[in-house]
Amino acid sequence: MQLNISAPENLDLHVPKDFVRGCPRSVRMDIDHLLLAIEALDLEAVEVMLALIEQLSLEKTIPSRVAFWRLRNTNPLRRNYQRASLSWDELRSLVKLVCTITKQLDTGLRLLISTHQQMLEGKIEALGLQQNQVFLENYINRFTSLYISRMRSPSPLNNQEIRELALQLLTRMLLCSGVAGEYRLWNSLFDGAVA
Amino acid sequence: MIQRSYSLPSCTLLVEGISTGGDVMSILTSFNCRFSHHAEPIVGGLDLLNTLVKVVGAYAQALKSNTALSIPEQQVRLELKNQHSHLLSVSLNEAEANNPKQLQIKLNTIQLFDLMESLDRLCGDPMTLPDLKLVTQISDFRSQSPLSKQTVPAIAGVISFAIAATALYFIPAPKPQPKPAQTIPVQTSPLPNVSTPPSPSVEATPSEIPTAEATPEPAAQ
Repeated sequence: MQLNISAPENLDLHVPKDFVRGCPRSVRMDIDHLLLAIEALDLEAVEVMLALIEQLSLEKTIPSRVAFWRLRNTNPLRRNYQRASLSWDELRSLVKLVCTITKQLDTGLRLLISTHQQMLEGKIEALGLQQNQVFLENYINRFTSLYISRMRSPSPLNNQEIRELALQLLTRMLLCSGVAGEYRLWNSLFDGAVA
Repeated sequence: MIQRSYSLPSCTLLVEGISTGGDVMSILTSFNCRFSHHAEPIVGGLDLLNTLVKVVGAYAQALKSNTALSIPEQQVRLELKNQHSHLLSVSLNEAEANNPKQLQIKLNTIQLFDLMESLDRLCGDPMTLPDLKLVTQISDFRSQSPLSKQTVPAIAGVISFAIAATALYFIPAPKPQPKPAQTIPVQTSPLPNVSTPPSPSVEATPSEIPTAEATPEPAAQ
């Protein structure tokens, strides 16, 4: 019986009423940061996402690798930002993609989040989990280098801020990975966004 | 009697109820939510379950922006202790006034996620309590407390402006004083006197002011 549970059917990813002028800046930034964090978590993830586009039948909005790259470049902080915006359907496709892939990365996410908690509590040495700490540092370093290479220069954030962003995105990705992840992510994108 | 369970690594939600027709459980008799790190389970009825769905859903939704959220529920509360630690307080047996019990469970982010996920699975399950709805809109909770906080200074500002305006109304406006007519010729007459003696010395010396100051001194002697 449990296997049949899917995301609720009655809910729809509807656009909030206030956002008539298109996809807000902060939403485009948020979704791109999430994709960047997924990439930092697993370097193969981009290839997996491109394969998932076919499986989820999202070819209409993301027909090719270049189109995917273009959608990610709607983040205004990107080096190759072309002042393009996201359509609502494109945003829906990206949200679906992010939630599907974070479900697959769930185990790694749990490990990294609990490692960060153990680090904050100073328990890493006592538990002998230095290896996990290396994993977390690797993730943060990969995220930092991806962020610096993709975003405009000089970087909008300093290294400490990038690190905090990387850690914050871990929790966010975990919240996306649930059965209702799409709805949670969709609503959290518009929470606090300016129309 | 139907039992449905939603198991996650750190949290198990067990729901018991009666079906009115088919396989769909439409009436809840009780639920039991047990954490692997805490011995005492959360037990209650439909009211508590609804509150739990509401509070946990809204809290998880607000976790992204790290902003405080005031959810107007006394029975279930969730507070952020520090970055990865949350305190869940539930008052059990609220109906029986003689035996109230306050349950406090410390959750880390992953345990909170498991609790949210088990409740989300229950909400998304079309065979169990179809009336239970997911909570993802939190703007209602956020606007409630700040709105009252924002209106008080606004009204106070308007009232104080009105008081100040009525007080200032009784103060007579100052009349404009006529300008003294003699000052203009007095100012003009010394100006040529001052300007004429240094003018030849300034013209004689090329540029510097110190030299212009130095030149009148021998002239005075």
